Parts: sequence; C-alpha cells; structure tokens
Amino acid sequence: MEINVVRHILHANNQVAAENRRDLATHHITAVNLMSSPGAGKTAILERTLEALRGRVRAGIIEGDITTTLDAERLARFDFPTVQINTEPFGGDCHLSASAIRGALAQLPLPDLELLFIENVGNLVCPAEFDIGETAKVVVLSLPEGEDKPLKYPLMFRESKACLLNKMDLATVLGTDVDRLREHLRRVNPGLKVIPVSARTGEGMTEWLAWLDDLRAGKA
Amino acid sequence: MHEPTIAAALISLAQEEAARAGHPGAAITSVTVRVGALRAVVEESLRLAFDVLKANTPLENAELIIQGSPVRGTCRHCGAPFEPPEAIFLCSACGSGDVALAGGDELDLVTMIIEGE
Repeated sequence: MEINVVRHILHANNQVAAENRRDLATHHITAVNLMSSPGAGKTAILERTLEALRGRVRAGIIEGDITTTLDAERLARFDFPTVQINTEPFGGDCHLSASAIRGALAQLPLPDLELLFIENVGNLVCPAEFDIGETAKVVVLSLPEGEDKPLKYPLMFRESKACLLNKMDLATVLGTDVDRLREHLRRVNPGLKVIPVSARTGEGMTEWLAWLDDLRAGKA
Repeated sequence: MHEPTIAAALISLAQEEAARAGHPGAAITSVTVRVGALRAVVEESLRLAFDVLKANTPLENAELIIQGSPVRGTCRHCGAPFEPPEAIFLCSACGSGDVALAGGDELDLVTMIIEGE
C-alpha cells in the first residue's frame, strides 16, 4: 500500500526549533546562531563582543563543541550565564540540533536575558542544515580560509543573514583579494550583510555591534 | 556528515507516518525522498547511513528512492526563469540578485510503500 506523505524529513527537529523560537520570543530574547569552520575566530569574536556588551546588554551564551569546555572557560571571565553543550566526548555530532538547544535553554535564566549567542560546532556544512530556533544565523569567514569558500559551501552563506569577515589584520600578509571575496559572497547571497572585522585589533566591532542592535530592534 | 542525522530522522518519520495511516509497526518496503540541490546532501552518504540505521526496524528491507530537485525560480526584476547550474544566485538575464526560489531546498519524505492492503 502506498502512503503519500510530503513532510519535511527534519520535521521533529523543526518542531522543537519552533518551541525554542516561541520561548525566546516570550522572553524577548534575540538569539544569534554563530557558525564557521574550526578556527575562524568565533570564540575570539565573542570575547570582543561580550567585553563591549558588559554592563550594557544582558547576554547569555550557549557553547557548542564536540568535546571539551575550553571555549566556555575562555568566556567565563565575563560573568554572563553560559551553558556548554558537548555533542559527544569522543567525536560526536557535527552540528547543534534544536533539542540540544532546548536542553540548554532550560538551564539559562531566560527572564534575565535580552541577547543569546549560540556558538555552533565548527563546521561549514552541517550546522546550516538545522534550524535551532534562532533569530538569525551569522557566519564567520576568516581570510586564511580563501576567497572561494562562499562558492564551495553555498548553503551556509545562503542561510546566513550576516557574514563577519574575520582576521582582516592579515589581509596584506595573505594577499587576500577582499573585493573578489565580497563578489563571491554577493553571488551566493545578494542580501547578505558583510562586516569586515578583526577580533585581534578590534576593527569592525563598532559596525558589528550596531548590526546586533538593529537585529534586536527588528531592523536588520 | 549530516546524512546520518537525516537518515535517522527519515527512519523515525516513516514509522510515525505508518502509524498515523493506521498501520503501526507495518513493514515498510520503500521510501521516496525529495532532496533539493541546495541541501548539500551527498547521496552515497545518505544511502550508506540509511542502510546501516534501518537494521532491526520496520524499514529493514526498505528501498530508498532519492529524487533530486534542481535550484529553480524566477527573477523578480525581469521575470526570466532562474535555473542556475551552480550556486550563483544572480539572474543570468539581467544580473539582479532579487530572485524568487521555487525549488531546490526540499528535504521531504514524499511517499512510501508499506506491506498489506
């Protein structure tokens, strides 16, 4: 007997993502899903961001890693509520799922938060596939990764609302053609907001923080 | 390697749908899925994961049929049809980035066959 279904395969994940989105909306929390390759600088950017937000915005952090609590330890000095998710101690899921976030949300003081950063597992493919209930996906692309990456990993750049071009301080050393990189980003996602930054020097942080304010105001 | 997660979700969803159709636990002999080109799903990886994960489930003998779906749509600016061979989301006729997508992002269980009448 044939049964016609036509249902999204990740239906179960998407349902939990919708619950997360509803809970975040109830508490007026803007959630940023930060994604990139390993080593692109997500944690370093978060360090700069949290430093700037301290005393100004009540933020929370969900740290996703396959294993270790190293990133959460780096961010502990800012005294923002942080939950570490490990997908598997010996090499597990390559992405965060909506249910992993659901568990983490239960451990955060949601009524006290305005902004939530979710640092996804370092991976330029899989995290883009899973809705976790975020307000916006933001991809970090660092210059050493090369100008061709948007064309090679289009889904990640299609799904994202903004792209932070990190390690701009290395542009001269690397001989990066930033205009060519921007053109590749535009081809894959013409509506993508591109913000060149350097977590090391602080370049571009003002523009990034302004974009976060716009996102919170529903204007990004 | 998101394919194992997708295969596991597909196997649960198929069983859920069989139950919803009034045949809980029925043997499922075939599942057809539609996978858009934008989904970055590697067909071989999905098949491998499906074959490993279906053991000891009602899908044990199920065949996996994968229908591809190209990226397609229409340019909102000039109205030309949009069906790029690679991931460039600019209209080939007028260069506008304002295209309306009508396909290519599917990841659906479309139909399945279960044993019995």
